[in-house]
Amino acid sequence: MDQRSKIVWNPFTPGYFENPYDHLKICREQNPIHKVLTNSWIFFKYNDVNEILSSNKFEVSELSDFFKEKEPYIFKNSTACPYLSKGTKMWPMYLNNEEHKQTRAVMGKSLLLKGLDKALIEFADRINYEHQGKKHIDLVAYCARYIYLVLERILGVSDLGELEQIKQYSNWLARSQDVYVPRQVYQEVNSWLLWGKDIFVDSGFEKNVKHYADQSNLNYTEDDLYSISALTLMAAFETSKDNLSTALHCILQSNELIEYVLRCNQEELNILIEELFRFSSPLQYTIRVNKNPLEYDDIHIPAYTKLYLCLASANRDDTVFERPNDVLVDRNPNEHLSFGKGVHFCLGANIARQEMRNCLKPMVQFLKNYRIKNEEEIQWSKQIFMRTIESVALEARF
Amino acid sequence: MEKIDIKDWLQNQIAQELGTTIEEVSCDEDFENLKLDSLALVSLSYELESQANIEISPTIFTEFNTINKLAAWINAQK
Ligand code: HEM
Repeated sequence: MDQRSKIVWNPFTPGYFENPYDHLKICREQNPIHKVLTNSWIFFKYNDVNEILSSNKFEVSELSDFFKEKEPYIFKNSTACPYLSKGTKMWPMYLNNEEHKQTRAVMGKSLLLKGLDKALIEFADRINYEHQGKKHIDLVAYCARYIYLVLERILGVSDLGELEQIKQYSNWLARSQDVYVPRQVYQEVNSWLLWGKDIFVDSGFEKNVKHYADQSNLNYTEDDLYSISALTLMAAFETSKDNLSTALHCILQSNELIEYVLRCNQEELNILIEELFRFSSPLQYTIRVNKNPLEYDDIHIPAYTKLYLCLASANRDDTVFERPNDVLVDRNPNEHLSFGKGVHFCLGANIARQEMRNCLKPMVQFLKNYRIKNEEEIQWSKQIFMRTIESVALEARF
Repeated sequence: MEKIDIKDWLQNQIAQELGTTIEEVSCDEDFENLKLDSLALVSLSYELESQANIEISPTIFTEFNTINKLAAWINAQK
């Protein structure tokens, strides 16, 4: 028996949440396809993950149906109104075929993107102005505030309410997609889903969704409209905030990177930004289901098995990326999978790029006057699918 | 005393989850054979964390696969 096959993916390995990449490397190199949880399989290599995402022989698993089946158990002995299945029903990353295509098309047309570049420059300046002269800054709160302003803009909401509550709302919704989620956490997700029901009423985005859905004769209910808006907020806020805070955290650790960001031209900046997406991999995993049985050497996977695809591992695969654990400012080409691939390719990838292209220089210019207070005290959230920094304390150099 | 508490608690919870009596939940039976699905096991480990007052990973039921083994491990942590 090959000793190497003993390694099994375990995100509760000590130190995983601080740095998942050491464990992922061992999995990728020693046991790149193996069985996990009950009857699921996990893939670590770039080529495998890339191939599955690109192929039409796979589909996405259905989250809303999972919740429909589990709601009686989740809400056993509870007086809460079950809303998990309804609230997640229109999330496109869990829809297949025609329903997916229609929902994705409506969402894409409904985001308010006109004049976004100009607005983003203003937002970055505004954030810097708000933080001017402060001796202490939490980098994550600073990033969250920028993404919050972007969200108000692209969703056409004049006031999203307290940033702290939106941060929590987005984070709880993101947790609904994680693995190893207990029913107590699902109950909390449920209450946040119910809490947010009024956020998007009369928003420009929801009006547009209604309009384009009517045009295509899609009869969306109020719950469907809310489900689409809630997903859009979560997908846009959580990942962009995580990416920006991880990227700035990395840049602030290196004077070389700080100087490079400040002096590079737009084209060089765009290349660096792609590299930062690869490096941070905010969504670390995704799931697919195989429509047909699969064979990999001596491995046989029956049809309709859940397959976990580790995007974070694929993005650090050294058979594809030279020195994968380093940020190489001029890495080009850079076919990273941080936005996924294939029919479910991130709908907001270009928005995420625009956000970064407009904010990185002014933010680094401002933050170079700060240093990370205590690298050891940085807290990473205990989430598996998303890689989230909780907070990074910065102190002024002045 | 402690030993009996955690064991009792686990037996009780599992009996409730399965809708059977405590007597029918064997402390040497592999959790896999008890027909608890993964959501139930993860939820149980979450609850167990506050009962035992120590950090418990959701994979605990595969690492210690019977009530007896799990209770012994938890008691050894205190
Ligand atoms: C750095 C920022 C972002 C990252 C890393 C990211 C990552 C991803 C990934 C990996 C997927 C594919 C999931 C899969 O295939 O299962 C995805 C899908 C999606 N993303 Fe993003 N995302 C980001 C920003 C955004 C933004 C700003 C928005 C919205 C404005 C957005 C909306 C969506 C939507 C709607 C989908 C589902 C697409 C579909 O299933 O057809 N994302 N994202």
